Amino acid sequence: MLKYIFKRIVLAIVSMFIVMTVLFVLLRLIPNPVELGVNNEGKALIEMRRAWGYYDPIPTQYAIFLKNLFTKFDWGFCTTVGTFLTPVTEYVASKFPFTIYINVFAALISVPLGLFFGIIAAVYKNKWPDQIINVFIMVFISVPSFVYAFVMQYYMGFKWGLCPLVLESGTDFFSWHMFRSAIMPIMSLSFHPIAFYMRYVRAELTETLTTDYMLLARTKGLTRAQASFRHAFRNSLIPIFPTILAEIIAVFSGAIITEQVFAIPGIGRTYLMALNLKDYSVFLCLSMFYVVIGFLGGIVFDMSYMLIDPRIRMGGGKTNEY
Amino acid sequence: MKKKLVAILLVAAMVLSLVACGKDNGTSEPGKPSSGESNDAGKKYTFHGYLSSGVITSFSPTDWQTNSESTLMGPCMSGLYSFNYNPDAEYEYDLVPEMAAAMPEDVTTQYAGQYGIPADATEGYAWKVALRQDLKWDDGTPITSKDYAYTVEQFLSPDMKNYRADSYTGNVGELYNAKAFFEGTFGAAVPRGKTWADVVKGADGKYTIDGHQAFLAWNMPTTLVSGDSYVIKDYAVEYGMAQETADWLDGLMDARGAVELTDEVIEKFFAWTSSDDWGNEPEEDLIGYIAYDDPALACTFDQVGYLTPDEYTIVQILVNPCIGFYLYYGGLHDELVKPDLYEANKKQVGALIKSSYGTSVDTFASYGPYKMDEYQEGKYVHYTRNENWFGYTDGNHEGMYQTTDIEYQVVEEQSTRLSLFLQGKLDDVDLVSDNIPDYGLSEYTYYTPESYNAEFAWNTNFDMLKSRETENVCKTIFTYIEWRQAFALSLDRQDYCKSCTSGYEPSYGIISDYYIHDPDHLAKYRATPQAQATLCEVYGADSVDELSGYDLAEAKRLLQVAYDKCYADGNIDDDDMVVVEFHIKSAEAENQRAVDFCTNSMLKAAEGTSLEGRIKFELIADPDYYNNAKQGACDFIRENWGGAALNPYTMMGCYCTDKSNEFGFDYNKHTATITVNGETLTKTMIEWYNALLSGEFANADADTRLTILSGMEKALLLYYHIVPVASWTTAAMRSQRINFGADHFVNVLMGWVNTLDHLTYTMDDAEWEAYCASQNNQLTY
Repeated sequence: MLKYIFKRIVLAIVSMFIVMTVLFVLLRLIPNPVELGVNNEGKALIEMRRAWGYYDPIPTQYAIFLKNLFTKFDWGFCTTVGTFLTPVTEYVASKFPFTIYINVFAALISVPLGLFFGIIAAVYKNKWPDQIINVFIMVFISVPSFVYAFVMQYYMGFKWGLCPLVLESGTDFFSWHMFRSAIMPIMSLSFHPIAFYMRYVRAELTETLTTDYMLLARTKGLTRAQASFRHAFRNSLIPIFPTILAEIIAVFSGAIITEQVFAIPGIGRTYLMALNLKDYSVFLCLSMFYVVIGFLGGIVFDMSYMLIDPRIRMGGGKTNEY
Repeated sequence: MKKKLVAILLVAAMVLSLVACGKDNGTSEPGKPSSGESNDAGKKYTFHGYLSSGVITSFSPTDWQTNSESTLMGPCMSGLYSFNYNPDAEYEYDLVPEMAAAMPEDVTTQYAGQYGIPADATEGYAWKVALRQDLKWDDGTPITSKDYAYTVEQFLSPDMKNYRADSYTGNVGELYNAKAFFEGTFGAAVPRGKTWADVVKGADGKYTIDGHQAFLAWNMPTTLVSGDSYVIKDYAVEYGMAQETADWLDGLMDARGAVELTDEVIEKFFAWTSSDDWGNEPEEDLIGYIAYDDPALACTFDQVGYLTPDEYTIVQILVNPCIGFYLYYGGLHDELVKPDLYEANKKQVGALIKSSYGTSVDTFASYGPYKMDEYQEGKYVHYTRNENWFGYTDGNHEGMYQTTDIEYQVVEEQSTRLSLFLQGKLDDVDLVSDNIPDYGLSEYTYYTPESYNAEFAWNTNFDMLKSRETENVCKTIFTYIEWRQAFALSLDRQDYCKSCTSGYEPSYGIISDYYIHDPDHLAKYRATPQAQATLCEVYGADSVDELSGYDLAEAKRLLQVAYDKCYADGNIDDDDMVVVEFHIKSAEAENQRAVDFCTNSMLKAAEGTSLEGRIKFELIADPDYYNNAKQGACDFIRENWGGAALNPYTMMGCYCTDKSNEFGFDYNKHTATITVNGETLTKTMIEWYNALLSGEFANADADTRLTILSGMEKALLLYYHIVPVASWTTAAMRSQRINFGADHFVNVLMGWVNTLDHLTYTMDDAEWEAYCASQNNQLTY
């Protein structure tokens, strides 16, 4: 078990290094010309870039980058995105709270609601509650979240005046005003996962409810609710649980258009700007952050199967054959 | 019963999140409550603005780059002099001292013979400005001439390479020795009396002369072995150097125009000088293109033309004499950075020392009417009145500055901005073409002309277009001038402006109607006889009032001619389509409309010709389309040029130098014949441009310069590789509680007199909030 985890971590580190190298090289191969401007004001920018090594050979730049990274954990500083000259790690860290704030609430809403309605749909399969839920599933799955963002902003925010149109400024995340201003982005980001969980739980639970051991449970004298919760629901959670873990990891991911619509200074918008404006340091730092999260998520994802179902074993060359 | 319960629970849970959003008319404004003192019996007048881009890295005067950054600095700055609106004045403005105590004094004769001023000069080089003695920073610290001198030194610091140094090293405000100081510790010297053998390669791979770094004098005057003096960059491509090599050298060039010598530089450069194209020069002649660091040429700030004779006096010494309007419009420098803050925020960043001044409230100081008291990067900024600003008590600003607080939110989405505006939470909003049908005729909508001109530009390089062709697709037809002229005549510019823009005006010339050629009299270039004659000749009209630029019949004829020629040359087949890849920044609806407009215009022109139904424009979303156009990687783009609205002459640089995007148009070879003062002269476009900007006609009389400028414009228009279509006009709405200083667009300088100092409010914040609430926060415009 430990050997397996160790092996996965070593492989992840090697893979991350390869990804970082490829990203670094590709990023610097993207044309990044200086517009001289009508008054040649761009000349100073060329000088600035030269002094910062932009025109050095890429291997030289990478060697300097690696040296700074491994000796000082220095990912560089903001140039065209963020606060000028601020260390990138500091700047990126300052952006995460907004994204996490929205995503945490979205996850807190979408997981229980998704599970709840999924159970209802499965229990009342092919009856009218199931059909209503299926309609919502169809709508929520097929329409992108930013469409809800625009629709809600217009109706809930503008027409009905229920919520502010944009996120409150400041960082008072625990105030009512901040939360109220975040309701629309939270909702727009929740609909899709809610539908996803509803559909997934419904499918898994429907299948479990028809298994032989459910019949056995009922014949043993359990009520339908007892049998459904104690046996069917728990067993159907096995494939669902890792997706909930993925949802937790996803709280770090930004939603570019939703952030733009609701003026959220979050990570999604920053990531896009860093690429568009060729802020090498910000883009690389953020990319690697997501790569790390992805690898860690993969490992946790695999391990979670093992934790929730003792029958599953990984690594060590053993099989689960009976 | 059970079913009903489940149903109720289901519905209740489904709308759980909706009911959580109770209506609340309390303090739920998108911005923070402001805290400034009122200037009207405790009333507050907050201007609610927005920034359309969250890209704000620095609002330091030395390093700002974007419009948003400039907007953030504005309320915290005050000039030495300002142009004040005066409807009774001849040009509707007065020039008045602000930070200065009086109008500047010309002290050229006092400094003649020094600081590069000719001994016989009498005016325009040296200007003395007396400062007010009650100037203060927002924390109450006095401002003196030392602050100004410190600021200039930081702008020009060779160790910092500040982005805005150009305002001191070029243009009308170029200070004596500013360039030399900025460009480095050492000046570069031509190695007179040296030979190629004196250029020694060290163990570190660097080439030196007498121990000093050696360079290729790429874009600086040097003396060739032959004895002639040249800037070699100006001739290289013309005489056969590959454009790729020239671009590569440009990229390596430092501020002096020198390129550090390396084996690769020597190899590539020698490959050219030793070629037939340049004259088969031997390797030893390379010494003629070399420069080296000369410590004796080091320039210190003491030698820069910015003097502070006493605590409240500054003297600026300019490289070129400057009098009249331009002196106040760029000639006299008035930016300030607070020395202690600037120093405290300096740090070594890579090979440079930089200051993070102007990146937060704590690192920024105000010397203007407002001070920043809250800043959230990428989101929000708030200002209150700077009570230490002299203007509130000097008696010269009566009736101005009713605004007590300012706040800007970053709102990048247009639909969000418009909704906020309609709720009364923004005091102005720009309109896009989609908004014009709804709000274009509103009494609160105002249109502001701008300097920028939108033009379609063709790739005209045959080989490149040939290489871009695919099966049954012809592109080389773009090289035929008849095709391009047909396109120009097929455009109904009125219709284009109406359907594809937010109120732009049709444009027929390369230089828009906004440009002023004589700022002292606010005289427009487009109103001059020379400029009008150019348009009439190009479009075949008797007067500019009759211009439409739209002639479908002639477009049809020309299309057929283009096709016939192309067919005869074997460049198009009977079943080929003409596909124009239109590179444009993004695929948004407004851009798609422009593409469709071009397709429809040409399809209409092609009806009844051999090209009927065979023309298509395709939108290619390409954020880097300017650079791709420069490389020839596009067929067609829409470009926008503008800026420097008081100097139309520099605009030609956008078309006749390496700034141009039109691949295939060779400004080094394309000529224009212009009759100047009775003499007919033929020069290449780049020669005309240089003659106008810095050569034989740089100081010619206005008529001569206008004749050349309009002649160049005509030559460009008649090649039809650039097709002007619309000049920018910004459409915007002001809120119902705001009035501008004027009820019409006054002129280029004053605009609508809608700057913060002139805004007046019909309601204070509390009244406005109550009014908006009474309208259910849905205002009607």
